[in-house]
Amino acid sequence: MENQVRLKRIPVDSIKPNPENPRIVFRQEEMDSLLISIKKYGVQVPITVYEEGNHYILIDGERRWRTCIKLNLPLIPAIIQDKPSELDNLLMMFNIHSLREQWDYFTIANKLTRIDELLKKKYGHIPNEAELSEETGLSRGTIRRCKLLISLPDKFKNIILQELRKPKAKQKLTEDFFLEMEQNLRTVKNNLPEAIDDIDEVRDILITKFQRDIIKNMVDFRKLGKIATAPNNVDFKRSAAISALRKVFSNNDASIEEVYDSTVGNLYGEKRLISTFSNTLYYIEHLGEDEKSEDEIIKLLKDIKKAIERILKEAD
Amino acid sequence: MDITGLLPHQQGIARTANLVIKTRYNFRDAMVLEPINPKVPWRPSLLWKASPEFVGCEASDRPFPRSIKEVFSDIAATGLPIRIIVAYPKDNILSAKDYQDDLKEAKKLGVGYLSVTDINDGELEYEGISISLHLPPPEFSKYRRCLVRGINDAYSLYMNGNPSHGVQELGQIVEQIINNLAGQAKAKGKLTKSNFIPAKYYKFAKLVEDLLAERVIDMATLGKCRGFVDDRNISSHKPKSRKAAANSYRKTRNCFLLGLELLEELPGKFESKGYKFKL
Repeated sequence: MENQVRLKRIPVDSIKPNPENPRIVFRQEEMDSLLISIKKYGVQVPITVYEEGNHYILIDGERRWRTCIKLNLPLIPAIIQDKPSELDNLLMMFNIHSLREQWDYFTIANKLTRIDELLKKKYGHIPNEAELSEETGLSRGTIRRCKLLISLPDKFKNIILQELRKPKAKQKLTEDFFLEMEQNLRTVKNNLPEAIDDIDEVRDILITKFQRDIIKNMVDFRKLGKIATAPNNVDFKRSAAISALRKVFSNNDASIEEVYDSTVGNLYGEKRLISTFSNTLYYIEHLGEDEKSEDEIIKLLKDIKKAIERILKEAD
Repeated sequence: MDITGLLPHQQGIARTANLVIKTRYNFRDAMVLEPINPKVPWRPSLLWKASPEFVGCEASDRPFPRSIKEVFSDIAATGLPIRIIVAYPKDNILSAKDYQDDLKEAKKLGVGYLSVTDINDGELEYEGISISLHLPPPEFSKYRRCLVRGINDAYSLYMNGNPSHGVQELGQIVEQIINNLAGQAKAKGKLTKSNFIPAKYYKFAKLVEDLLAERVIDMATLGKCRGFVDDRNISSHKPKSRKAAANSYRKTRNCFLLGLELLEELPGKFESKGYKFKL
């Protein structure tokens, strides 16, 4: 992207928003904070625009521009660039934001599909995650999360959109909630597909349980994944895992935590313990010569020895 | 009316607010994000350049957004007759306490609020008053106890969309006090050149002139009474243009302030001349 760039103060009324701007949610609270800042200090970072006919189109800085309009400021500092192609336009907006400020995933997700299409034309093949990451400046993890959100049915996307309009502190059904839920439902589907009859119904039930505080924490969804992989990981009966999951996916007061604790919780606890002991044994067997003479380490080894002897004696 | 310039979450609120306000005041469709005047550091979501005042409506997610709080004093400093109404969704995310605080604060500054319940359904809960008329609540501790209730009623009338009635209400208290003074003066053998007879109608402006002529109490205080009478008359006439409104609103506000000053001052001035302060 070779560009002629100029810095100029331009009339706010000569600017139009960019229809390709991925940002679709402008939270009032954040706009108010920006208004206070601009009123006090002015626009410290110029917006970026390109010229089209007798007006300018925004590339970056829609919130600053809107705030200047609200404050009835006549001019705004702007970096004026050449008109970019549709792909460059989108990529520029992504790159500016990935460097400066984290957008909501949903915001990115909405435009990512279009970038995918445009890059497919450019490369001649569907871009992989690495290529998308390089072009947009987004991490591969972010791209994966966005794709997960965009694959949701519209009904759930609307819930996210409604939620995003609220101030961050007031959001309950956040993007993170849906990400945790979806990632673990995917694990369930891959491992025990029989546990889910109707995925949308399951989503509805889990959302209701979260809203009713039956599911207290969104990270509890990870335990769904653990139940689903329990037949492979901790030798838990497949049919029992399916019935445990079905219990969570039903309209009742069963929480994920309760079901997890009463089924596979102990098995995973045992597995964790075995893994910790194995690691400890490995470290003890591979202690270096210097470490063996450390007072603190010797004291700890003696304590471990005493504890082990006591437990073994009790077991006999 | 093209509302696409507004943020997505403001558009539905603005559409309903436009409908409610234009129906209520018989306005046309509002202008969207238009400047009121280059001097005014705020562009409302919706604007009506009505006569005798500008009406600006802000589509927001709460009844008293921080943005309005921030620009309020700058708008007031322009002295222009601008009425602000905030349109907000009735089903909002505020806690009961924050919601009540917002309503209280808006009312305190004379900022109107309109709740939007559904598409095309809203209620103008408080009309607000022109910002140039705004007055902070009086400090009631400065007044004699017998005056507090009357002052509070007058202030409520003033801030609840009826400033000239508020001034009239305050004027009646001042009149009553001055009449009482004149009665006492007459009983003491003063006011000999006046035709004033207690309990009979006597033009208030004339009575003030009579009291001044015979220097019944402090001349400066009586001079203020005279000023109060003049401004009270101007404030009761409906202005025909925005320019006249700016002048009239300034006088109405000053008149109310002058009335408050008189009610604070008069008891002491009476007593220093041996008169009893009664209401």
